[in-house]
Amino acid sequence: MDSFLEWVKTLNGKVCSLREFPAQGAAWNEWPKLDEKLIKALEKQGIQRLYSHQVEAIKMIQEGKNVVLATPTASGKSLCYNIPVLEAIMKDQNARALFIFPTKALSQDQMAGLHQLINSSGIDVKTFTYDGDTPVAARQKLRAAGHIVITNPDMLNTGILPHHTKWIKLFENLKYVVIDELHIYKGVFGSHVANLIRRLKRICSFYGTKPTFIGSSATISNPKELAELLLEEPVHIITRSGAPRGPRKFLLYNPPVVNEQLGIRKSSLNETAKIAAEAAANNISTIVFTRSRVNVELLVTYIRRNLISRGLEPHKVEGYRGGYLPSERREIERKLREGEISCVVSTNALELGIDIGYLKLAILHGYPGSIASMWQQIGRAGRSKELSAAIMVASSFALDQFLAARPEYLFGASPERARINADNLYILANHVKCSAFELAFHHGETFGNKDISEILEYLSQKGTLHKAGERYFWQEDSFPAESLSLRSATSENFVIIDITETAKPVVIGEVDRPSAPMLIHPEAIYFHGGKTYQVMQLDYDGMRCYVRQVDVDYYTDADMAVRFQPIDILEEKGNWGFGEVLLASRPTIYKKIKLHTHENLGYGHIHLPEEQMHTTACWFKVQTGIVWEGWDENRQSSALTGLANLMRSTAPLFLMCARHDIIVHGLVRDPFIEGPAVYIADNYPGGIGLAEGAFELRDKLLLSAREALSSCKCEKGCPGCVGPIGAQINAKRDTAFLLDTILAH
Amino acid sequence: MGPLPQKSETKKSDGIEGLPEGTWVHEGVYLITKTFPLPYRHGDVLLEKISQSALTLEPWGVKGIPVFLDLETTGLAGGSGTYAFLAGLAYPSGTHLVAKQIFLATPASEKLWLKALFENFPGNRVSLVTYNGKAFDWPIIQTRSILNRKTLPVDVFGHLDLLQLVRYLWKGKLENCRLATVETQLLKVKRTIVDAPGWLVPKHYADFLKTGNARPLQGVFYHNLMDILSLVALKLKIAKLMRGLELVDPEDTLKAGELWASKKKMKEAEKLWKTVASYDCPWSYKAKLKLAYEEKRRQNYEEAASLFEECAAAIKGPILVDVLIELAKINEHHIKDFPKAFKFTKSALVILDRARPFYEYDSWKKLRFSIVHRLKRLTGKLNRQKGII
Repeated sequence: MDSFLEWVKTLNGKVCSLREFPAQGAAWNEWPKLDEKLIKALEKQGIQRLYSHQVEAIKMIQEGKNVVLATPTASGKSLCYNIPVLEAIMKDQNARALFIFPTKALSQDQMAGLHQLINSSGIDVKTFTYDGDTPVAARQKLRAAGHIVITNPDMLNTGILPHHTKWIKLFENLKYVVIDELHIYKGVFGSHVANLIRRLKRICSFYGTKPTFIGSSATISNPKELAELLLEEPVHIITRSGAPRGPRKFLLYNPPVVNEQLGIRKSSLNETAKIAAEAAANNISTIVFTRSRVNVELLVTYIRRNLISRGLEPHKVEGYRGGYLPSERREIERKLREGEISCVVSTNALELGIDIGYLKLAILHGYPGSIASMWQQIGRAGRSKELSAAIMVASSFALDQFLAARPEYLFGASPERARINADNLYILANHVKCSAFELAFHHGETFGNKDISEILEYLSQKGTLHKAGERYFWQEDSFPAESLSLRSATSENFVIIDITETAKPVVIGEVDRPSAPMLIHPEAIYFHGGKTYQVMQLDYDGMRCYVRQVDVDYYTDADMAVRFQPIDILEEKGNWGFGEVLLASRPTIYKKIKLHTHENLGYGHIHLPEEQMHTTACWFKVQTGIVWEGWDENRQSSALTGLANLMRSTAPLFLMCARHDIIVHGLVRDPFIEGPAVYIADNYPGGIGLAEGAFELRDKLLLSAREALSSCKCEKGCPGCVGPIGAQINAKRDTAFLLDTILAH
Repeated sequence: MGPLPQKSETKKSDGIEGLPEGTWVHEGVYLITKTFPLPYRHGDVLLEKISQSALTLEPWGVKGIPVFLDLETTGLAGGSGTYAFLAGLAYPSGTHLVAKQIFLATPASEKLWLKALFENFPGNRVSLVTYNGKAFDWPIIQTRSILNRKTLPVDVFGHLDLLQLVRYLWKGKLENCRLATVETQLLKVKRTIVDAPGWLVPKHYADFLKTGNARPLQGVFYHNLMDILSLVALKLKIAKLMRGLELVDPEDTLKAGELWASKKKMKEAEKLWKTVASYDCPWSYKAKLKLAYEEKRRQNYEEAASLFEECAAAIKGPILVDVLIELAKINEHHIKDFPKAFKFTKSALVILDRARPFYEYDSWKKLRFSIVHRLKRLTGKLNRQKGII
């Protein structure tokens, strides 16, 4: 490992920063009061003692306190809830527990560990996973007999809560609710889950139970605050880990500059692939994280080619991302655990605690968008004794370059605050409907700690509910949980069908609807499993995309035309405004970009319908002045685009969200503002408070954008600051001028 | 004490207008009772001897006095948000059929509605007859009882879901298996224009809750009553078919036999199959085939062989391969007529090769392999026999 890290330092790019984390010894504690059988079972698994944080958690849980563990990856968090849950069931055969994992994949993995403990203790505890894959015939028996039900938020929403009378045994005896990976429940998803917990607690209280909540979380700055927002109850938080850790090194690598004038750096993709291939060649078990599905496929292709050119086995490298079929993913997880492959390239799907064993190296292609995600991705590599390492390769995004220039930010900054807004009306109203379907609301009843009398009144006027005798009854002929998706605006997916062999079409993957116009428009190049396909036809009604395998040396990148139409202005201050908007987008053209060199090979038109979304946005009228008036349209447009690019990169730091949570767009002639304008919108239907936050922090956003621009070392603007605009125009100077004009007002 | 039951005409003090004649049995719960002297004609079916027909269908869940049940609900979505506002019950009582409709005038009174429903069952051990009631009506009653913290005071010790039998008997013949379809196509019932179509029922009730005007619900009450009468008629029709008293379509009789066979009632099954086998129609060979397999199971090999031979003469296509193999097996192992066994095996091979496009390649290969193997073995046996002679 050390020689590999030395090799990285000899590369042409710059190692901007090198941090070393010393090894940490273990802190043990005495066994808490536990059943002998359980202690024996643990000892049989090689657990002779427990770490200090585990003992603390178990004691608290046994006292009936809500506990959330926010200790690092691989510190034995699951034991902290498995032990007290099993003990409770050993004491009382009727006791029940509900485990909630964010994804199906995680719950399957968790079940394996739990089964092991149950088997070695020889106690009679029945666990089962209740998700879309559970056979219908088995469900009825499992509902009554299962001690531990393992599920995910989506199944809780549609499968369990609305059918609570069938789960009477579970709810009448529910002692513990385990919520794993709590930090995932932030933003929109978190706001949904907070309401889901309100529904769950309402049902428990109907059956006369008040379960204790146990959670685990990755490192975020406010785990206690997040947990208490989600649960609306006091929570005891444990952050100090007693688990040992081997030494770790962290490198920040910036690819070399290839064109000084344009500030263009060598492709971070190529550099990442080169580093990963070197690691694979040296049999260092590695995980590579990148930000998009397309990048996963590109990296797999590049790394395999690199290995082939050295005469090595290319199939030691696999991709792993959302669009793969579940069976494919299970297979990859298994191969990785068993060492059949030594390098896996992933989107953030693997950030979650899926058991892939302990890896030696984590390579982060680009800053993952938040400090918390970064630590979690880094935490994927780590051994209890040996040296492990993480390398972050800076991409050309402004934020990455900002961090490469000022790496102290990464280490100085505390992790992000996870935000949720459970009272977001769009989300709240939908869950009130679901909850009313589950149990009639009494007049004056609150939902969690929220007064919902107005919502109930509105719903009964609309005829969704019928008020009779101080109660509100569900009156519609519909199943509200089914039309409510917790994850994003839509749960619809396009199925990708390979028709290379016309007689034998094969489903090879899925793409979610919002990404479809960009990724699988007709003639787009789609990557899957390292192979290239071209989209032949996109069937919007049938949600099918037909592709054919092709051999090309380019990929495609689509441009979106975006328009904003303010519907309701909620607040205005100076040049800034905030309110509800209709956001309409349509892909217009796509560029063909050559692999490796990334040169532009031409373009084509895209004919697809416009996608519309109602959301919240803030906007500002760009102050221009006489100099601007003298610029031609091209120059005006590039300065404004530069400003939008800058803000798109820097604003997420202050809004504490990921890049994809917001949409930033500059328009030279906006029909509503009647002049040049910049919009910052929530990338979620109904909004989630990010645009509102941007409106509040407006001055700070502009100042930080100016600072990011100044700290960029390029001459005329580069992908690291104002974006890839072109050599003819000095976009950096113009954007700086524009920003200064705005700031002067 | 709640208000005493009182007679209602068309108007009720709490503002509800237009209910058919009945009584308020509890606050917000209204009961409509109708009696039908038996026999009573419903469509093509004469309703009579209802309890007797129940005995026929005992293996499918009827035990003792049947109670016919059908609910009208606020929707079809299921889950804990769907509730029933009208329960229709029917059961035989002496020389009459009694029909009771228990109506919920406000969801606030649901607990009392459930009480009234159970009070109107003809006893506390009943056997239900429903249409899709195992998946829909009865789970709703269970769910509503839990939500109202009521334990079920009635012991349902049998439940016949007619939908399951209809699906088995007529799935291919009917456009769909909805009760309305069964009613017009099989029972020849004609409803009057008063009838509210099923999909409009939740809307009619929601409108009533808003306005207090029950007149538009007349169609729903009628709809529910017709549904329970059709349940009675359908059950009688199926029972008759099962007893071999209704020989309209040999296909139905053949399938009724299969139903008996599925409950291991072979005597009843054979009776129906023999009837079909005596006809001159395509179904008769299917019936003979069933009978042949049954004789074989009972080790009556001579009878089985003669039935299989009759079938072999009339059947074409892949089934013939199976029949010929059966004949080969019986002749080889039981009758010990090796030349005959050889002849049947040989023709099975010819037919199989001709029918190749109808098989999955793997199963075709497997089957062919076993036939060729049998042929070889029989050749050996024949040679040995010749040697002995």
